[in-house]
Amino acid sequence: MEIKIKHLNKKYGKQSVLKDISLHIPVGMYGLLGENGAGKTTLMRILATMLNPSSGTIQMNGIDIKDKKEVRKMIGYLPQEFSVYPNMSVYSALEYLAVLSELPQNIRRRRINELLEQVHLEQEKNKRFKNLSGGMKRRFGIAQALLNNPQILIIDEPTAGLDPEERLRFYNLLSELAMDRIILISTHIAGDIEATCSNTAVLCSGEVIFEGQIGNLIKLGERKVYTTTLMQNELEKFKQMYHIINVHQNGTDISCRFLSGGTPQKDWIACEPTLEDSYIFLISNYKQGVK
Amino acid sequence: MYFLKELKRICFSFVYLLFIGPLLFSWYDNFYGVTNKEISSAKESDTSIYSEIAGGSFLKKPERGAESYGMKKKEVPEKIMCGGTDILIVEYLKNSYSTYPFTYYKEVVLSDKEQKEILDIITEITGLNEQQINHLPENYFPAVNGSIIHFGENANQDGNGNFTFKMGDSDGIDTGQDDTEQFVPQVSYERFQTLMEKAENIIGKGSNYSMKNLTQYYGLSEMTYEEAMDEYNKTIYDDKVSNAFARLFCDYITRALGLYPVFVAVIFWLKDRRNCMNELIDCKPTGTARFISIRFLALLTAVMLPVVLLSFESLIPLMRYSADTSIAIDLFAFFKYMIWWLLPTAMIVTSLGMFLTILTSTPVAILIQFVWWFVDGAVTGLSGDTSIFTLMIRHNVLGGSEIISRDFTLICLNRGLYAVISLILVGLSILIYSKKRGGEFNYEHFLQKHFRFFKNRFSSHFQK
Repeated sequence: MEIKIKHLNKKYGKQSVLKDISLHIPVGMYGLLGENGAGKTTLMRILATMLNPSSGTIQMNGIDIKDKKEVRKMIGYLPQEFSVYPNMSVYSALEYLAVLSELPQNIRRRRINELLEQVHLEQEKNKRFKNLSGGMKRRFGIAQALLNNPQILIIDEPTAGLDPEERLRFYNLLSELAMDRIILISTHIAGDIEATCSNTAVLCSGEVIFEGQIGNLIKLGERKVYTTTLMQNELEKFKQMYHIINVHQNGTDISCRFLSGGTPQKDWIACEPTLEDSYIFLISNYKQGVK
Repeated sequence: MYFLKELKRICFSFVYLLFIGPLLFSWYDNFYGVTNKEISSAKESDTSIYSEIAGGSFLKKPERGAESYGMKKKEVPEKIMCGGTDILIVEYLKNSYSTYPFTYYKEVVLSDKEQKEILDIITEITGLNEQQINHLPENYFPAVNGSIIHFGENANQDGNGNFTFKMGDSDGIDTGQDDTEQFVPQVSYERFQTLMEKAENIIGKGSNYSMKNLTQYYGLSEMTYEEAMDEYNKTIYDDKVSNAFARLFCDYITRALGLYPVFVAVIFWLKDRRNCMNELIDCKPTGTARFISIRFLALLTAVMLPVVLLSFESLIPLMRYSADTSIAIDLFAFFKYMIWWLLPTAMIVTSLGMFLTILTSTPVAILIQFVWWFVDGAVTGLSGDTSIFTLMIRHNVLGGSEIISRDFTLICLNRGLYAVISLILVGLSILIYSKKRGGEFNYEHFLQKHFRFFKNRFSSHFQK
């Protein structure tokens, strides 16, 4: 079970949104990390058969993406922005989408009940969709994507707008589901990928600038992350020289965590990089290279 | 299962209430109670508007020696010439001509030159000069001349304030009379028709002088006993009673079905996008052909369902009438007429609304359908005026089965054409939706860029 993407390009008129993307996505959770506008949603929509690529090939379990009918049978898709007819109950909405998923009538009811239990929405099954909280709506989204028990689950920006508790619950749910299928998550929050995925790709301006294991991405930030203490009046000048990750005010002093690819100075203290540090370093490095 | 889900979703939507409301109002205002009235007037306990127009009960067997056997549309040249000339003189003297170019009233005032041309027409028909025309004797035309009533010395008012009139001769005009005292046409009927056409050209479209209007206003004549019996037999044996009521029912309902279903179809389709539901639906494995066809069938069923239910208001009294009188009725008359007369209208309106909404993702179909409905209503006469492209077949009379028989082939062609076009539109909808669903036909950014203003305005009004 795998997704193979080769030399994928997508253009809107003259504007290139995806440039020569090649990826190999194995079973398990796979993170697609990138800024807003990097092309993540476009790639997700192409994989979900909602968009046609301009060139390149995609194979999903050996089936060409052009065979949309077959591909749709094996995927589940949770778009970044979605909703349901507001007055429909959770159960009715799932039943409606189950019919469109061509689930046989004899297993439809059982499957919906299983999914409601799995995403912890059994108590809300008679609630109208418009009365669900943001987290419940996201869990509903997962349930509808799993209706046809897909081998590939494509989830676009799943935690946007969720509070930390809901995010944690959501990722635990995804981890449970990732046992025997591919789960592809796109996000701009590095912490989400770090918590759940073993492999990731980083997209920037429509190009893949990293592909590999999370550990390797973190390693890119080694000896690049430092902290130092600055006076209030030094901060502005410092900002112009280095990429600052965060700043803490300690009385009159400022503790500053920042990125630097150059030789460390005496008062700099080297730090263990997080995924977010390495990701920011990678992105800023790429942008400087482009400039 | 999927069909039932969609049907339920449509029937429980707010827009469906907006569809049902005007449909019910239109039916109630025009047709509700007509059947019961006709049945009771046959028992001489009541009269109905249709009975009054016909001059007697529609369902009552004529009795020889009755004072009147009712009126019938008949092209009697003398009556049409008399009525047409009368109204032309009335309008000429006031220089105020009524026209209905698109069913709405418009007054036309002619120039001196045009007035002279009208005067020439009148002079040629009557043989009178300008001075005589300006000072016509009061009895020159009958007091009741088709749709014209002259309040002259022939009109007598009784103590209760009611007027009685001396009616004109039934069909003929006494050509032996003095043509300066009473109307005697000086031209043949063919020449009269040419002159009326000329008058219509001077005054404008929709004037009183088209042959269609002249026949309608002045083409009513008293029926003879034989003619009345013939009408009765046609109603009882050819129409089996219920067919006549089914036609009138369809005539009123078709006006509603020519427009209202487009609102249901457009808003139903826009809801997916409005509720951000389209991507959840589009990525599901169901085939586009199945998806579109079932939705179309559900829309069509929802549109026809209240029509079927309303027909029982007429059918049930007719069944009782049949049981009481032992006159056989056609139990399936309403069903048959709804299928071959109303269904193609509902199909074309629904499929056009669906197609344009899928194509443009905007409610533009409502505007287009409204224009079509308005123009079609304006150019189509109340009965027997079917063309190959008539959207709403009209037959605003009880009886008149001979008009249907005369136009039967044309009506069949018309209905067949719309049914076929409707299926083609469903096919095109499948094609377009399939392309859009797969991202092959993506022009959203183009529409958004160039028509954002209209799109946002319409969307905010209709998509809710």
